Amino acid sequence: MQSQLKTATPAVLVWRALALASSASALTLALWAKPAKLHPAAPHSTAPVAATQAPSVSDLPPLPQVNALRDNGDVAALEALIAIANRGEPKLASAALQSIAQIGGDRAREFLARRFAAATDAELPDLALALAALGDAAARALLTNAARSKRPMARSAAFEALSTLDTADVREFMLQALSFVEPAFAIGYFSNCREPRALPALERLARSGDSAQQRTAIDALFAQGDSAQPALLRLLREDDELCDSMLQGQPSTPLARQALRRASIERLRAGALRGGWAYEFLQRDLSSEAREALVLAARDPASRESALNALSARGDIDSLRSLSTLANDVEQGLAQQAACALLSQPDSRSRPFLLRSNRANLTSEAAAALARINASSGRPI
Amino acid sequence: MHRSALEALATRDETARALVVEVTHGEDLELRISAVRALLKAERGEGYAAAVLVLPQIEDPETLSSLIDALGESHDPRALSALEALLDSAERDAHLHAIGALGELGVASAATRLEGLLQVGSSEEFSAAAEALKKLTPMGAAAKLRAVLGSENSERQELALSALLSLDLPDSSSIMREQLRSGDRGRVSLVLRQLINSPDPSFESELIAIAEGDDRRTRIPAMQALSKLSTASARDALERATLSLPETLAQRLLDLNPEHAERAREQRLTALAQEVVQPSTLLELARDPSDEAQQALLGYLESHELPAGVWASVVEFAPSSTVQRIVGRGASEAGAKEGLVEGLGRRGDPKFASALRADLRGDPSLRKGAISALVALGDDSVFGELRELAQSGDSAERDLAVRLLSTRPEPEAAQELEHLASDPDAQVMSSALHTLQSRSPELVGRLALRALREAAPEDRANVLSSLSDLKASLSRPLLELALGDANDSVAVQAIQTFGNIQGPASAQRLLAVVNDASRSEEVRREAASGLRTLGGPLAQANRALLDSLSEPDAAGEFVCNPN
Repeated sequence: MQSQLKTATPAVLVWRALALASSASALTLALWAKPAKLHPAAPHSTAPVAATQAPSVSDLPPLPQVNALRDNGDVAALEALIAIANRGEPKLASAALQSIAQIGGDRAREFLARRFAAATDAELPDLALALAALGDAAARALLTNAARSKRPMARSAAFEALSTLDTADVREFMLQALSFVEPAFAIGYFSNCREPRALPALERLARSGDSAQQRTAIDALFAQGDSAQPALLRLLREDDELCDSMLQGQPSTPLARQALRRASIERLRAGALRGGWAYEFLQRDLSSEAREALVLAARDPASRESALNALSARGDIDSLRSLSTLANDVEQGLAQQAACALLSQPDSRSRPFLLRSNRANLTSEAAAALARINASSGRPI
Repeated sequence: MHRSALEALATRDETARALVVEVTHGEDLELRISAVRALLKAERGEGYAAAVLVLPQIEDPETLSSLIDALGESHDPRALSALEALLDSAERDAHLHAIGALGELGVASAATRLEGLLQVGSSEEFSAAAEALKKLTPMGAAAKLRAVLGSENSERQELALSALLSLDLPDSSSIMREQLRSGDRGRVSLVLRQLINSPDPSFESELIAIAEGDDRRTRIPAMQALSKLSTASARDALERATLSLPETLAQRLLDLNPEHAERAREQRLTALAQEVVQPSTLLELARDPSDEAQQALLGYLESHELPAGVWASVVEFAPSSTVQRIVGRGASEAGAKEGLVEGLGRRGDPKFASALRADLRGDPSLRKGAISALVALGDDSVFGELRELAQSGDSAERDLAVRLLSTRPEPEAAQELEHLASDPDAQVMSSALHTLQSRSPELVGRLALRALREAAPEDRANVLSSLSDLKASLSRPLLELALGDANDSVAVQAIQTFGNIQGPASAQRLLAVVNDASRSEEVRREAASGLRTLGGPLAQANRALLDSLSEPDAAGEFVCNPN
């Protein structure tokens, strides 16, 4: 990434105006700002540290002035920003690091690399993000090396920062990282990046990873769209644990959604499923098949509570009708629980069902539900 | 691809548009939705009629939500009927979304429907309708909300006040004063929240009265609101009011006021001279990078004994130069030494790696802390020490080794972990197997089975318990093995875990135990109870058998608690 230097002088003028308006110490900094600019093709290759006097802590400029230095972008501004990053309060230092990255060039990169190598755990994320914002090939190489480091915090900071980049080398690195001991970051990368070459590794990790890796790998597979369809269908047939992980994800294609619906309905029909992700999925799925499967599951005492809760949470008029019908079922246990479910999340549409509710043993609960929608007396305020 | 083609066709001549309309009646739902979208985008009347037909067919919440947005953003009265249909029939989220879209649509005739939701509806419907009305007819919304605020339903009054405050009305100050006077805690809290977000010095006296009052739930927000005021009288009142609060809470409230910061620093420096100094004072000083604060802190640390935890926090947060001086001086008493190593570990600062290496070679009591800190820094020199930990006779040290080795990427770390996966201590073995389960699932499967088979009878239940939360593909063979265990407590544990896994396969296993006459009555009863709880066709088909082995749970009688 090239630094965004401007050859015109307005930024300098703005900076001077800001500095003059702010304080005498900022005026000192304004005097450092020189109108001469480096050409983007000739980034800072030398480090005139000795020639620049760093401000004392009490002289450090506030946030807008850091931005003005960034817009200025010359050698002196860069050195001033480096001084702020070295000595400023955390918030200011963080802004200074980003500004240094945006000015870019060898001097900026060398500074960031040196600071990254000696940083505390708390400082690592900002420095890694600054290297990513600088973003040239050398900065990316520094980050990929750090992502292989033996220091866990350096690894995670570098991976987080690399996740903001999509270049051929970073993609290659992330493909390799899918086989690292800790593949979680690389898996996450492919949740935002379609890459057919990642499919085999993502499928493998969805199958073999621990539960967190499994979930992320499934999300990444969903994000791959149609190309991941065969892998997703294979995984869905594998076992219930994998199926549960898939039901927690966000299917991105109608086919994937239909496959998950089918699997959930089959599991409900097979029985011995008291609760869990299949119910959650069918609650969110707006199809009539999902509703019918829930109505059927409500007939088994073991799965009744989950099924009725899901119907009640859907809250659409057809689900309310289904609950109302179940509330009048000949099986007393089912009827009572369905009548109760009808009272649990009342809204304006529940009103006719609540007013019709005539179960003697639920009178006070029905009255409370009507009160919650301000319909106790049947007339408005 | 088809979406852009349909959009292009929808903007062309009548023949092309007829083609798009035809697609809205087709079989492919995705295509139908795209066609509706294309017609809406082209502002064609056919789109609204098609939307009414296609909306009930949509099964994906996100697609439905985007189409609701498109209808609202069309600002076309012809979208009204489609949105009103959703209001009646859609599931909960789409219903609320459609209420919002009615406001965006901007068709005045929707106001009656929305006003109806202010009268009868859930609190979510009220808020969505109020927002929609504010867009549709701000003055009308204000009038309606005022009427609700004047009603007798306290929940509705709160909802109305909340909506009114967001309207930024010219008389909002008088509304707020009236509500503060009402004394209703819910509405007073809403006004206080408003004053925290938008400070208003004209409320100072009311805020002081509440901050000095008896109601604990409104006092703190009143103090928060006071802290946002820059007058000296508000600052003084805040300091008075916070005297009755615990020190950390008081400090947090006082620090909200930027003008208090300098005074607070002076107070911290003065506090060092007192007999009892709170740890929070030392922490605030550690975080203050000024020379004055750091000198005072160093002076205090030199002359006082502190618990290890306080040392650790100071070392974690103090500037590097202060920590250098603490490390340079060296600590003499045990708490300080321990806290120093712990603090350096939390700090994660490579500058102090050599100090940690020195601790590694020095005081044995600091060894574990120093190893942990160096591992966190990715220090290569520490691997030998890690190996020693892994081979220690103390199982707690081996357990620590598992945790530290799990963060190392080198193959030697994996080898050590594989070795620890056969550890005689169940906790160490289980930790290592859990770490390795995603890296070497086959090996873990083999080792876990061997651990259960070779465990002494009295340890098997413990081993099973520590391994049953491995991935299902790894734990299932263990459970199968445990189900056949001669020790009833092991078998019962396996039965309970199968019950939690659920599904027809678990039901099948449980039924096999129920039918196994060679098993003890206790085991068969547990399996029967588990199968009944699980439900499903097998439980229904064998109901009589299950009932003969275990009584249905009488305590399971249903009690309706809808709230």
